[in-house]
Amino acid sequence: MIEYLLSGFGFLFTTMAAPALFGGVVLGIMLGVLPGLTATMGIALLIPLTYYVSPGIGLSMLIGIFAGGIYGGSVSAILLKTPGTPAAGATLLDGYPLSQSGHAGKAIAIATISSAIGGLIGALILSFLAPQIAKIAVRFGPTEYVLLGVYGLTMISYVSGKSLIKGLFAGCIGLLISTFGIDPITSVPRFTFGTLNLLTGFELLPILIGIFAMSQAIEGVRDSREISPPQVKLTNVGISIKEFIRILPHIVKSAFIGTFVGAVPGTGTDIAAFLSYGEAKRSSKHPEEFGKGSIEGVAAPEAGNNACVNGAMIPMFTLGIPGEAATAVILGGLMVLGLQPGPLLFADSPEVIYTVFASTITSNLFMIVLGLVGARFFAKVLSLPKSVIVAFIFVFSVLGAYSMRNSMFDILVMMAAGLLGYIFSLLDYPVPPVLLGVILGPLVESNLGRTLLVSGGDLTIFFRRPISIFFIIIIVLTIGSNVFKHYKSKK
Amino acid sequence: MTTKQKTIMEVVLNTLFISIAIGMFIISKDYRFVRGTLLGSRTFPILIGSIMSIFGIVNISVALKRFLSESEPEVIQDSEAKSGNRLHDCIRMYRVQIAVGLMVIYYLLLTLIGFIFATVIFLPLILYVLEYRRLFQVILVTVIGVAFLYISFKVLLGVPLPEAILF
Repeated sequence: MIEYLLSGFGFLFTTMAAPALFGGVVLGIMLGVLPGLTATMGIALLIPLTYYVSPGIGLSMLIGIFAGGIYGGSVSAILLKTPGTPAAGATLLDGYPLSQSGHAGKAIAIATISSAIGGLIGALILSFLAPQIAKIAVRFGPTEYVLLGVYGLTMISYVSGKSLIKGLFAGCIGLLISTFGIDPITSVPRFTFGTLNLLTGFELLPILIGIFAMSQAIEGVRDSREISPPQVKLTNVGISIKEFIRILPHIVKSAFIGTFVGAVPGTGTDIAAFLSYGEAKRSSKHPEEFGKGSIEGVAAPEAGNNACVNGAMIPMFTLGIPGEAATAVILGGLMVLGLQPGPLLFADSPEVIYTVFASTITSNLFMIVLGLVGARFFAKVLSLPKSVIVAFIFVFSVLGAYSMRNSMFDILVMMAAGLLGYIFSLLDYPVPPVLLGVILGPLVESNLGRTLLVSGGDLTIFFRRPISIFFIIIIVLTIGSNVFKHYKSKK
Repeated sequence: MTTKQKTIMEVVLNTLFISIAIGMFIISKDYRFVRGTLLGSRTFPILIGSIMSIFGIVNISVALKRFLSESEPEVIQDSEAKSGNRLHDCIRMYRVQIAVGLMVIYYLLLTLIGFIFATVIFLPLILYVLEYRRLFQVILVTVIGVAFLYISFKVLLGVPLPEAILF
């Protein structure tokens, strides 16, 4: 495994992958800095470009955007009291008071160092743990894949927000979209209406760009008149060794919390950040400083949320299950590149997967350099006119949707998906379940067909294998706990 | 947005998707099951469509129940400051609808006159809607933006751009 990882580093630094990763981190930080723009949107918009380079290079860029985007959110949280991403919500609690007291530079430096160390620990855990999980998962047959897909669909309940029914409704829309085109078992063309455009079904990319980028652009138009609070001036960016020693134990602890939280599908960087913040406050010698500008209060959530980025990739790469929106989009990216996420990825394309692992490690090193040296530049990004950015998101979305098949039909699909995403946000319907449905639908349907053909329609096949029974227990427990949670919250 | 508008929108959205599910059910009548089983091209769409319709009906009833239980009339505050210019006020009020309309026009222009000319027309218009109206800056952003996109996509990466059918 070490040899594979070293060859991953070799590929990274002998090809255009390292510059792509660096560019991805820069772009990710810029997107994260700007409130309203997310790393998820950035990944969705740039997936089409990865189609024109090798998978290793393309994925390195996407990994860079993801890592940089989560870190970038802290800059606007500290300087503007507006978290660039939900993950930076906990950073704001102490980051903004710290900058208000004239220590904005220190707050940025702590956020940068904590993010990088947290992310690095998470990346190392990912690199060594993921192949071990994949070794177990490679024994899966169609029966297990059906249950794995169903388990993935239960994640809808986690990303549904306030209403479980709305989330399930959105998930069903995604599943229905996935049924267009040739049936995977009987090869009968379904719902094609005689047009060639629908023979292979709806392409994933236009839907992905529509619901994650175009809908945000429309929201950008709606919110274009919102006025940002005044920005705090950025002074010396750095911290003392004494301060570093004080925050280091919190960083390490939060990194483990973040990685664990990320590895559990259905959680997210915001949960990791708040859990890390809570634990740091509980174990701090100065809990009274929290909320008033505690340096530990900035370090812990930043280490937690960046470690979570890598933790979230463990189920995505090993099982092909996206736990939240950003990993769902990266999963979509893998599929667009012709790679099938899951345990076979480790056997079929080890060079790609280990380049990705090398990228996750290296992205944190790039982040620390960029964050400390380029902090003033990234702070300046906050003064970019949002109108211009929103206008270009429209154009990028069109280009992205068109570029994969050179199809004007895909632009129409993207626009429709964007409008649907916008209406969903107006009505508080969650968007990620749609994507989960589109991605997991074919996996469930094709393997369900194969399983039932093999068993002659006998459903007891699902109870004959130990791994299947394990999945059934997990699925029942997940659904049960979520229904109970939603029922309890309504009461 | 008022509760009434939100309720109408939610009812329309759910009804639309229930209708799509019913439509798929009708169309899939021609698809056959594998002999002696419930397996076939129509199994999955019917299963998912039925489940989705149930959730849709629940969503509609919850939305209507919420609307009917609202006893106090909703006060809509005019949060948008008036500029004094009727056109600008109108654009401000309907900016989302106008932006969606512009997207449709952009799509039609892309098919007719190709990416470069369509984008040169679209960018200033959407910037106007977004209240970015300094002429020199708009021209600069449009020219540099289109040139950047053309060079980076078409020239450097070799990504094809939408082409015109008129010329």
